[in-house]
Amino acid sequence: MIRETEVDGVQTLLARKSGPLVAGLTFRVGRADETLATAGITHLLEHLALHHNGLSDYHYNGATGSVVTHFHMQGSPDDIARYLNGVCAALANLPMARLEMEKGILRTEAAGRKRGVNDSLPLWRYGAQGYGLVSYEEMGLPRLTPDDLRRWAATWFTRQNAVLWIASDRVPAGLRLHLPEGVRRPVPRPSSALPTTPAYFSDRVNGVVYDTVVRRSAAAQVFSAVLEREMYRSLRQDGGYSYVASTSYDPRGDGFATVTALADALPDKQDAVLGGFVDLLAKLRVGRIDQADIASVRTKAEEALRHEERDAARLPGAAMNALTGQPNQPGEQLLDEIRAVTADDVRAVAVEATAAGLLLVPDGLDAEWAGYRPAPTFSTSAVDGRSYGSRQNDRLGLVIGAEGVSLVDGTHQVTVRYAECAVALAWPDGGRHLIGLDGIAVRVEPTLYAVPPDQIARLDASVPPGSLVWQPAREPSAIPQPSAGQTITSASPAAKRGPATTAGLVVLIVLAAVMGVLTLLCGAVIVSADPVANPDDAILRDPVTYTMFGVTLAVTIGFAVGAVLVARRRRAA
Amino acid sequence: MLPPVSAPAALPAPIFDPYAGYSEPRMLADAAKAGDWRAVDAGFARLTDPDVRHHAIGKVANAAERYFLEDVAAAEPTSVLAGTLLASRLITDGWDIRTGSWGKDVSREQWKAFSEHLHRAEQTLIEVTARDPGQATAWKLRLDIARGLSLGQAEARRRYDHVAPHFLPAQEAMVQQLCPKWSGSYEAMHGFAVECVKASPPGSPNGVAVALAHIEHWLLIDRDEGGPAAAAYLARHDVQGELRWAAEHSVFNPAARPSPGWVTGHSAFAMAFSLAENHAAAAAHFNALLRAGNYADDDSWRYLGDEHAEFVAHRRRAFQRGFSR
Repeated sequence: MIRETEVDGVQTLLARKSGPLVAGLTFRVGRADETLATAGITHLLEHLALHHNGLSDYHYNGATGSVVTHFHMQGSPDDIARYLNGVCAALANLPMARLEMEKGILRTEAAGRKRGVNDSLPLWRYGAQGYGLVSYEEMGLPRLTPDDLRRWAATWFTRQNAVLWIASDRVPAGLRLHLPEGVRRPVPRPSSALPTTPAYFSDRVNGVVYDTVVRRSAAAQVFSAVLEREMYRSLRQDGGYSYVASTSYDPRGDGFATVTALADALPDKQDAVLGGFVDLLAKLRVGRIDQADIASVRTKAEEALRHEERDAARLPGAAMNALTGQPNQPGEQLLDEIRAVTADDVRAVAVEATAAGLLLVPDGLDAEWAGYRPAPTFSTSAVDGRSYGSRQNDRLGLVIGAEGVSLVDGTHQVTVRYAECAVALAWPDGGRHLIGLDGIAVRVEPTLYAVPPDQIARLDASVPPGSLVWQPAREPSAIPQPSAGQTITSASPAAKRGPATTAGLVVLIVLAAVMGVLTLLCGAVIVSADPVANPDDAILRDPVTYTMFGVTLAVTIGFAVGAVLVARRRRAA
Repeated sequence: MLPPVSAPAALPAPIFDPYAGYSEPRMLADAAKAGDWRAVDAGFARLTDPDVRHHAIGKVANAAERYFLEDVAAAEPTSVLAGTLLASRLITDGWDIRTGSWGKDVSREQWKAFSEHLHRAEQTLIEVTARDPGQATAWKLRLDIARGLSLGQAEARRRYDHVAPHFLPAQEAMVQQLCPKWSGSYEAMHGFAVECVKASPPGSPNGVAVALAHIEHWLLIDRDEGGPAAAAYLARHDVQGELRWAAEHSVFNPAARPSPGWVTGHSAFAMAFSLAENHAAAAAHFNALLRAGNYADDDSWRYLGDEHAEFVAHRRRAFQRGFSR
């Protein structure tokens, strides 16, 4: 049973648990509340609030999600009190001296983060705003000032916009939550970048990724689990097309939940994974649902919810429910709801899921045959304005107008209107990268188009206040140069040149150089040998010596050819 | 083997319909033409033989008015029969727009209309096979769609794997799928055909897969290198050996019984042997067809142009030369 109380005006949830004490302070703010031009501000604030904790021996952490931010820790009641008191104190008086340092740490964290195959789906579904922002890097970091952070803290990190949760039946003595007054903030309304669903897009993935939004319910939860079992059976066990086949169910905070499904593909089986996935979704939609699957999902739920410490385990989720205005039902009631789910309920969710589906398929495949419409990769219109020809492709033109910028090639266009510009990344060399709220991007590169500097200045003045984000100067090699075959790029994030290729190239050059020196030495020895004058030198004119010379020469050539090939591929990428 | 028929010049024209002896498909087509869905539905409920059922679906789908099939499918969205009939018709209409030309000769507008027809058919069949995965015809039609829309070799194989074993129409579709003109390869196509024969019970008509694969091979050589090279391919010792082996395992096996599939088999073997100028072997197949009621399947003969005239001409030549020794 989760008990509710209050600590210094902060709504508090308590549920007993054995073992070490766990507690957390959760705020109703996350990446979906940011804009692309402030993206990263919540995460940066979370880091600053935790900095004073330093490297201590207890376990604490912070986590910035889509609509909530957690500060949580495990330790003694005293540790917990000290930790949370410290978080509140730091929020009131942010260590601004650490600002640039923490920005750097966040950039390092982002560089080391492994991108998942499903990371891009929110961008395609919601665009470059709200729930879509989790697909993007923390682009706002360079322009965030101490004032921005103080305002953010005062708006979101307030007494009314927080929930404290403790896995214990009592509040640790000495815990004081000094937070400013504010209001409980509603979750953002979802935006949409998809004119119609079901929709699909393609990218460099090895398999199929799917997500959909359904009303949050026990039936939707069972649907997600049944879908996973169906995928495992049909794509892995029976078909042998996939190794990974899994789903997840994540409440969005507004009465809806996202169901995400992922199936990888063995080489040459990508088309079959797509076909198999379309078919198994149809199977659930027409109601051919295995009763054994529902029974198994129920058993798992019973095990999880019968667990003695189930309520303590549910605390972080319960805090999110409380903050987003969603009901927190007792465990027994949740279990009853799961038990009551019928095959027909699951079928109804499958119908709802299909209608809202977004499918990511491997490059080269499409899903129109299965009834999925292509998600927009181009804009429906271009802006009026002055056109600047591309230095490398006669058909390509950059239009800068009073309302925005467009790239046009006669057939397609991509447009960012200033009024709907989410961010304008700016480099000192004049390069600009505009991303619209719909996720469609236009790159303005003076090296590629003959754009005069006054037009760049006009562009900078036209984008919404605060959306211009200055970037550090680029390496000359990072500034695009004219090359044949430049085309309009779509909203999909461009593939980057990997550091692995660079490392490989260096290794190959070093190996080629070492072997080259050995070859030269070997050759020199053979040439300088004088068997007539010195009988000992006879061995140096032996076939074995010549063979050795040949081998080292061949290996040198091998490494050199390898290096040239890698370098060419690197340039092509 | 049956003795040859005398007076070859006076032979009657063959009946180019292996199902001519079956009245149900005709009756169902008449009912569909008359717009009597109840009679169609009830009639199909009595058709249990998958081959006859498959044939009947194609016949009914093409005989009925298209709006009748669309109305029925809309009125009975859960009926697998209504869905399959509509899809079958959409595929035929789509292919009529595309025409049987080589891909490069099909216009943009033709491709667009063709794709739209196939998309609609596919989405109908996704529902049908989701409701009843045992619908052999629906899966066979989905194989045709996979080929027409180039959905990929692994996807085609996945569809084929859903079909009950030894369902000849699906094997014929797979031979097409695996041939090089549809992004397959000769090795894959012949390998598949040989597997079909090996896996089938002796006397079953599935041996024809080997003949069909060699005819597809012949067609591509004929296009690229001309008639003499194509005929030389079929006359190759190993090709002839494989054709004889497949025929003896299937239509010429003592366990074989005349059936529509058997007619299809003899017709294709006769064509392959006749194109190879192995008149004696061709005559044996032509003769078996003649003795069993003068039925013939003109399907693969379409590659030769006027399929009926070509069949008759080849048969005459085979009987004249094949039995003159």
